[in-house]
Amino acid sequence: MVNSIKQQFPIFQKNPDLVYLDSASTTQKPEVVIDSIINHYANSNANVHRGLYNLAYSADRAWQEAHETVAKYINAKSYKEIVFTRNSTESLNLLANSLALKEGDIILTTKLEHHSNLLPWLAIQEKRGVKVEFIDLLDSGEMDYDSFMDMVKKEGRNIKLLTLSHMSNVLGILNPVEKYIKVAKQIGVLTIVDAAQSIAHTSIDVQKLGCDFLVFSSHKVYGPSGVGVLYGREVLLNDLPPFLKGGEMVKNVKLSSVEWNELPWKFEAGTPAIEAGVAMAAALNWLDQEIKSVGGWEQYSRNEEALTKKALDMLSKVEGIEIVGGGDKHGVISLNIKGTHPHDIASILSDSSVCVRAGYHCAQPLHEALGLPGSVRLSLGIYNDEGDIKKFIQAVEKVAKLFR
Amino acid sequence: MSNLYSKELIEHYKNPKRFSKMENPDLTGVAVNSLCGDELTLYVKNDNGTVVDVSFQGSGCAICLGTMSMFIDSFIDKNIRDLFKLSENEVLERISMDSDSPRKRCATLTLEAIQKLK
Repeated sequence: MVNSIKQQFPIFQKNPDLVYLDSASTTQKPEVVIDSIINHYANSNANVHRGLYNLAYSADRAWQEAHETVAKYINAKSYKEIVFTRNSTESLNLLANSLALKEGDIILTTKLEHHSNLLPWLAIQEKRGVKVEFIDLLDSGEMDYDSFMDMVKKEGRNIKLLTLSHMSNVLGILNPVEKYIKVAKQIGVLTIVDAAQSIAHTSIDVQKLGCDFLVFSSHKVYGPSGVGVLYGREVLLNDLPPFLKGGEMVKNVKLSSVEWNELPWKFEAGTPAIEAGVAMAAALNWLDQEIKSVGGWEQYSRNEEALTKKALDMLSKVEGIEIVGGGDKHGVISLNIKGTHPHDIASILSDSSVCVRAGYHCAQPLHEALGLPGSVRLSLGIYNDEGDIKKFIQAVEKVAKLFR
Repeated sequence: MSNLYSKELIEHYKNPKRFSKMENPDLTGVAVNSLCGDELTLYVKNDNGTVVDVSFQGSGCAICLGTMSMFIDSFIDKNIRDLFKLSENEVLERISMDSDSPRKRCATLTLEAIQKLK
């Protein structure tokens, strides 16, 4: 039986036995998002910011409306604060390249970051002589607030940037970033929230979070791949130099001087993935409706926590299962089976049409900190139900038995 | 895929044959799959070109370690040159793996360790 949400997804309609538990990698796409892409090319295709004909004008309008939809979704003050990039990774690289960080400046982050919120900073550490420091983790994998406060006391005003994952893609823990941002603001530290994982699991309100920048990818929130978002406070984006240069992002080009375009277009060089940006907005509008229909984000979280807990309870009964980290898990569980390699587990689960990810999940330093050679990860999306969890457990039991 | 995880392969993975470090080997071959971090080190002692002792160490999945364990006994008494002749087809057939399997590299890491012997 395919549940009513799955019925909105062509991939589940066509593959009713598919047990997709890899939404932290990428989510499946509802029909309304796929239709939006088709509709763009069939009815509205023209380049943006260029044409004077009606079709181009309507493409322009759709592009700006997509920015407005995102702004509303994350409660930004204006579409000018919403830059469309390729994905979270590009948004973070943009910041690493454009923020005025110099030798001696300290960037604070954690050991649980996805490589996308680690490697751009390590790169400028090497190039510009800034220093990347890591907030410790507790045994559960939760961020150690005391370690953060010790660093604040020790390094004080040398800290220029705090960049934190809102939700660990391995542990499923929602990090209390507001608490850290509050302290950072008091000492004038810029703050970035990597919402790549949290965007599909909780409501995001940039004003409530109080962050300066926030990034996420469309494909992790039921939208198409190839488009992502950088939110930045307008006053900061105004002062930030563009990362990529070329078409669309300039007003006036002379060989001797250049005038950048207005926000947010200043940061959107070249022809963007127009259909993807428009379809991302369709995805957010769709999700907003779906969340409302289950009773809001709080209720959605409760349902997700109940399903996660059910999976954890069932897993605890399988001999040899080791769960990675502790804390409250929001739809993401990483695990190992004693004496079994994660890649073998994922391969065998695939025999039962169960899709999970195996390996480091782009968070190798976290696995090293926890002393693990990788893990298998189950991650839930809005479409998953108890039936999926049961099939997953049956398949896991099969693996555990095989290797016992 | 189900055939792949035969009782035989899993037994080899759990109790790999000749799984130890060799003191003073004549030849050593190290192969690493950078995609997943699996690695194999093959040690060989030879007498006038004939393999007289062989062992291996490594870490990785059942296919990676199990494949090497399934073949390693057959290396004894072989001419080193014949060792290099072990083909991809022979390996895949022995472990019932299709040639387009996403796990092919795990199986052929055994071959790579042989090729890297020096």
